[in-house]
Amino acid sequence: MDQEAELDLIKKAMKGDAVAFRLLVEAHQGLAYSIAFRFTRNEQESEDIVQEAFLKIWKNILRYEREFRFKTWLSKIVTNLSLDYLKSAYKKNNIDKNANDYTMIATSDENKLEADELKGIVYQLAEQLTKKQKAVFVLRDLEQLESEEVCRILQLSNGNMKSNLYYARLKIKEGLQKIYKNDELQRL
Amino acid sequence: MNCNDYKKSIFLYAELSTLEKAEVDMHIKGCDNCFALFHATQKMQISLNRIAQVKVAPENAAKLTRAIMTKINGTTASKWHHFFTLSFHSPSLKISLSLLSALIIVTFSLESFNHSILSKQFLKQPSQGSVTLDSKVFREKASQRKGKASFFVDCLSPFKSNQYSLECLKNKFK
Repeated sequence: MDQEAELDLIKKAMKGDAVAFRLLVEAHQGLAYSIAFRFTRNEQESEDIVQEAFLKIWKNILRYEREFRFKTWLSKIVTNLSLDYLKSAYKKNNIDKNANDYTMIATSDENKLEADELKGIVYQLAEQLTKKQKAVFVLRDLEQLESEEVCRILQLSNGNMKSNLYYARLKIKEGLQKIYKNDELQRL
Repeated sequence: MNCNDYKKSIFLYAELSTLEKAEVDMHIKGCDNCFALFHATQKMQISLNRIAQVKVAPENAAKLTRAIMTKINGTTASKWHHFFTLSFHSPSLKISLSLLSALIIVTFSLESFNHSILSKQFLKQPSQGSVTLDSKVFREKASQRKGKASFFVDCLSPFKSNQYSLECLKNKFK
């Protein structure tokens, strides 16, 4: 969807047009779900976060600022809701542990490491990052958003974003190295 | 810059400017350790890109859309609510309301100012037939009334007859 058509739909939604808003939902719910899932790794929670995010947007649609893209605004809300979820989940110790123990995968059959398994390992390692580091890592490396967009979503300066990204990548690399026992990530 | 300084740049290679990238490239050409690190981080980035390519999507997108729209329709049950919300966000209404409140404040200020001037004038020059509440005057009037009442008290005794009272009053007026 081009930016002009998107802005047109937003203007209609501002006047209470639910049909226009539905088109916005259909166009962006994939991105919202993807971000939420990469944070929570829980389908139901991700769907709940997406619903809550769109409801928030609908209620505050009149506050939409044209200088930000709708995608950026949505990503910001989804990221904040996901971080809130993680905060409460850590408190309840309720994080989804469905990913297998990564050391088991690595030692059992290193040669047949598939993308899904690697994904599980990286997600598991990402759990050890701080909230900010995880947010920067998910948005920049897993969602592959532009650096400027990540800064806008997380309201971080470029330097702060880079610093968090550096430590996140360093921890992920160290974690992967431990699994592959100084194999210099040859298997990846 | 030493190898430790380049370490951060190697991890953030994708975020560097062309000039910064060229500087890192120059360094790793002559440093085996940094070259190995660069190689390893680039491999890791490729792996992360592979993970990013695997798109995560809801199991049933249409169901999710329906769920979102049901929630949204629940909040827009009242069109009037939306109309008022919309109206209160319009800049022209905001300006009109602020002007109106400013006007009310000015009117009340002027009114209280006029009232204070008028009341001062009123105290200085009381108009004809008006009542002035002054404690000094009030005390004087009260003592006069008391004097008048005591004038008749001698004659109005419950132990004397009416005839005596009339005679007494006649004598007083004489």
